[in-house]
Amino acid sequence: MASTITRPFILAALVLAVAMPAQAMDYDALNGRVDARAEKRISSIAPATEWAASAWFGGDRDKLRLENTGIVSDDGRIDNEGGTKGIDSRFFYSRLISDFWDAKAGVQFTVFDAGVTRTGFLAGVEGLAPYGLHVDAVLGVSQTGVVSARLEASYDLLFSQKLIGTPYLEAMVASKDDPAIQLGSGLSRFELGFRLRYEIAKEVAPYVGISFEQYTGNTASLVAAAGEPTSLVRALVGLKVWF
Amino acid sequence: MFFRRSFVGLALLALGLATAPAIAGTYDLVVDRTDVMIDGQVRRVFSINGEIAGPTLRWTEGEEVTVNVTNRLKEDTSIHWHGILLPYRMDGVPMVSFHGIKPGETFTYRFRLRQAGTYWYHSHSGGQEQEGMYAPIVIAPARGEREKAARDYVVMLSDHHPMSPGAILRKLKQEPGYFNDRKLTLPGLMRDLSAAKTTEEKQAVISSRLMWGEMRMDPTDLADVTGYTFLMNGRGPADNWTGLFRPGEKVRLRVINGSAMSLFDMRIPGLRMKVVQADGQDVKPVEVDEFRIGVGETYDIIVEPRDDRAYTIEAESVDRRGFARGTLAPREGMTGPAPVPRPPALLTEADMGHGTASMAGMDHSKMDHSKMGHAMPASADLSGLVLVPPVGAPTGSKVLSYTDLRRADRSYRLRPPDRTIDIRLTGNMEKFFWSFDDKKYSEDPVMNFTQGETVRLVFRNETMMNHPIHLHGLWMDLENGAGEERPRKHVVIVPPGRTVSVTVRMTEAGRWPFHCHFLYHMMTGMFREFVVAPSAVPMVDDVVPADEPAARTSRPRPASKPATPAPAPPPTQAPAMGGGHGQHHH
Repeated sequence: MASTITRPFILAALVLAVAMPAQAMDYDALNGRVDARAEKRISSIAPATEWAASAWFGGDRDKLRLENTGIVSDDGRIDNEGGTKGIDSRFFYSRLISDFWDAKAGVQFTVFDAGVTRTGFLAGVEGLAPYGLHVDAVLGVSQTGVVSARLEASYDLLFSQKLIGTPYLEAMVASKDDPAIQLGSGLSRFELGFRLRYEIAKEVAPYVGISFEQYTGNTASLVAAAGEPTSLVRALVGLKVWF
Repeated sequence: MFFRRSFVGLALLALGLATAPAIAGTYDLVVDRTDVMIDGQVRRVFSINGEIAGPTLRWTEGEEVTVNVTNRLKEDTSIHWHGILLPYRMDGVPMVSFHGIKPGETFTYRFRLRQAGTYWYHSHSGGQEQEGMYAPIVIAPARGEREKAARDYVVMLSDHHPMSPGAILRKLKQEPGYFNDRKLTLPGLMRDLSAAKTTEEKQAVISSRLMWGEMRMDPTDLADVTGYTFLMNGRGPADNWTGLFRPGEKVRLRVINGSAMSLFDMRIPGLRMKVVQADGQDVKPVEVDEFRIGVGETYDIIVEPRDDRAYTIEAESVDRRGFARGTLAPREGMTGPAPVPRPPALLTEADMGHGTASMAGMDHSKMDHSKMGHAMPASADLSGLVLVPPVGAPTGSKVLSYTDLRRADRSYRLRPPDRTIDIRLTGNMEKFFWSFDDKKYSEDPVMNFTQGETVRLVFRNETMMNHPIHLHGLWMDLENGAGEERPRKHVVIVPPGRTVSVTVRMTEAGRWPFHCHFLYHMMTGMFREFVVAPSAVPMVDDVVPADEPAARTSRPRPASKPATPAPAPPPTQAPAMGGGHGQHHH
């Protein structure tokens, strides 16, 4: 029978074919996203400009993440914010560990006022907690031996499909003092705020907001010693884009 | 056409004598970029022979077809013959069945038609299908149609998007909710609360919000992509495709869902629709007011408009964002009543597989769904077989369910499964990728089978989306409780949270794609290759002997099929039918 003769050839063809790279139906490789916002922080005692940019590149499970944040006061100095801010760059490798969570690990390089710098290692998670809470929680250890934990959480509240309110929380705790950057042990600082954005397009949204910032414990003492306010309320006006 | 008819006559004779096919046809298709008009706007599309939908290929059962496909694009292309039994090398899936068709190249497909019915063909490269590369196939039965009709029209449904498939996929990966413009809002919650009359109702509103919140999902997430214009035979709702009839005539409509991402609820207000075929296979006629058609499915219906007036053909997308629209009319230029959009549907708890244990434990094969009717709330049926009654369907109207489908062709034997395989339909809504058993195609490309075995596949949909599951080159015999009469399909919709099973006889060795027919589900990983290895044991064929009473057949089926493409004879027919067709449309 003809089929008996052709059978080995079919089998060989099948084996060869299966060995070919499977790229037709799984376009995973090249994706990326850049998010950025810049805002004026309006206050009579501590006006400043803040920005935050983040980007990811990679596949569904493995990604490279870059983050850069910074705050500069209107008199041109980098704002240390009690050793919790400065101009901060972070580089992560991240991996999807469950439906809603990425684990990430990487390095951090921060420039503080008067040219003080800190480098460190970071590891943490980011993702979506139940009820749609966006969470970014990172543990760090810096060159000065400070172990710290930073939490950022936010929630999108839809007033309409385009008008979206975002309450948020930022907090940091540190294991010991790093006086050169006004960082104190314990709970160093927390910020509670609310941003209200209007999505002109999904990718472009101007916003207004308000923040309440509080320094605590040793950090408050160090910040006060540097002549800075330890409690602040600021109005926020900014623009958020992604592409 | 004269040549063609004479050959059909010959074919009938030839089939009667069970000899080699006596007819052959050559068809030429050219793929190119073309500007077309949709609802008065110029749109750049990927066309086949200059148009969307592409030319209807009218073939005859038993015909030896040769199709030359020329690629005039700047990228690779392909044509896949959806629902057609053929040697796998002719199946037209890049990297699986062949290497694709390079720019400037012509690829020749050759295969013999072993079936009749309504099918379609489309590109299987990237997102080209959404860009316009889809077209109907109508294969005339060698011994004539079971159900006769005076008029015969193709009604091909599709969805056109102003964004390119690549751009859509990029947005979905960046922001999975990008296209959902109906997310739950705070004012919406206030409205629901004030509309709730009792404390219990108010609590239900709150607990529903909390449930979706807890799951980090949105009940309004019915369509991954919105912004489509729905087309009927390549024409927009305002273009109003029209099929003519004389009152009292029987009109056959061959409805094909060739869209990328859209399920439709189809109806023709004022007319009962007699469903006579599903996925190219004749079924026992069943009269309905409405049916749901998944991506890749086909249904042939017969209607008998008696009045001298226009009837509107409405195919409403299941997310209720729009219609594909056309008209049946006694004369050109008439329009029927404008379709009235139904309220948007929401997902229910049962769609998440959160049904009650007592329902899940019921044996649905023993239930008479037709008697139970469709007043049954959507969430009550967990079998996945009774299609969720479309929101807003008039009470008392008959909506087609999979349980209504019974095969008319008894010429083939159904076999009990040799083994059962569970396939979970899975995905990640947050990162937008889709998978089987939590593995994307790139992570687990192959499932292995042996020619001749019969395998029961149990699809468990663990996601909140419908998935129209498609298998190439092999039939899926749908376990819909109809026993020996269960129908065979090439696409099976598995609704959210439900389980649907089929049996597959592995009749043909080769590499057969198995995937969700939602374009962006397939493209992000909801895809497998069924590798059917040739068996050392000759395959027992399925044909019921003609003298058996069960074989009320009008169509003898070939026995064991050759696993390699049979060497095709040179085209015996000088005038290329497809070429002529193409010229007609230019």
